[in-house]
Amino acid sequence: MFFQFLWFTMIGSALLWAMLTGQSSVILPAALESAANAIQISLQLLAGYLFFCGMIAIVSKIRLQESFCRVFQPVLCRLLGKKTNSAALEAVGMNLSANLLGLGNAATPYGMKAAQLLDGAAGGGNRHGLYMLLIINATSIQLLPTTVLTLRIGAGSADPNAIVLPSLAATAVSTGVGVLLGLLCRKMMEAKDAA
Amino acid sequence: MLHELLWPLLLLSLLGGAMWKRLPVYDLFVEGAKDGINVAVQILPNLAAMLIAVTLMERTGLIAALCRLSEPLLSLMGLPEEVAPLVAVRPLSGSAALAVLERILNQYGPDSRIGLVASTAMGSSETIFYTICVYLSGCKDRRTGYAIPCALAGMFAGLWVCGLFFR
Repeated sequence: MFFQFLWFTMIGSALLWAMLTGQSSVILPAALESAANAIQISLQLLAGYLFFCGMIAIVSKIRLQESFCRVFQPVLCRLLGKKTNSAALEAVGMNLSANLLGLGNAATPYGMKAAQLLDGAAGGGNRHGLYMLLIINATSIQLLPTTVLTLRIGAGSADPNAIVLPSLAATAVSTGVGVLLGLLCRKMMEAKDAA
Repeated sequence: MLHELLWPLLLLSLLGGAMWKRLPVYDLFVEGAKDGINVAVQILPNLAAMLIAVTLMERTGLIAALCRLSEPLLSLMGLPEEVAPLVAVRPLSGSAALAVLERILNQYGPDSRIGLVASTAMGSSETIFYTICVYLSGCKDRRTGYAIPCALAGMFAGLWVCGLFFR
């Protein structure tokens, strides 16, 4: 539904713009050329995925995720609120540590399970905790942006790693600001409920 | 330089640690690489769809027009106007953002200021709307409350930091 709307808006606006500015002849060559370009990029990405997914399979077996999860537990307890049950806390911790390590495939099921637990389908819902889970996930990403690195190397960068530290700093700030605003919203809503 | 040692040290400690725990590193790598093939195959049609849309918008000059429109907002945050399309699609679709980033890297070069800011912006943000959609898909109550505005504000704060790094 969502992608349908996005894609239609993008293509539709380009087609209208082309007709309005009298450039209808560029449409078909551009479409075919970009499809060919997509093949090229996905070959580059395939090379990146072969390497990084291979290495990440080793990361996932070395049980780093579990140790990350344990380190996060006290911080998460504060962020999600004290009444969060331990099953939900565990799921959120595993979700975040999988995301940080770049284990995207492992992160999603934990995240969905965490969201269900916080939603309160099984009793003991925690709306503010759920919003916090969403904010953290929507603003934070992996420690090493492997896909961006793959594309940078493919584009012939002299120093592909130059973005690793800035990306980390930017992610830290985006998550920090998101979380702080989330806590602020929670405080305000709780104050309103109490009044 | 420290960041040149990043990969050799990281991979060495990973593989060394795995050997120490007596894990079958070769078999694990091959299994993981197999998954990598699936990921790449799944991404191709999505990437093609989004790349076609992005290229059409670019070739017809629509992106340039939209960039000029958003220039004041971006320069306020210390970002070049050329990253506007990336900022616009990043929260919506990962494939579209990947398509835009690739266009930017090829057009301006990965080591130019525009290329560096765009790479950092891509590497430090997330597909906010899509992620929230997926995570809530199993919930009964799908209200998002204050999550989306907070996440978007966080994203813009992160973008501002990207601009600070590359002046």
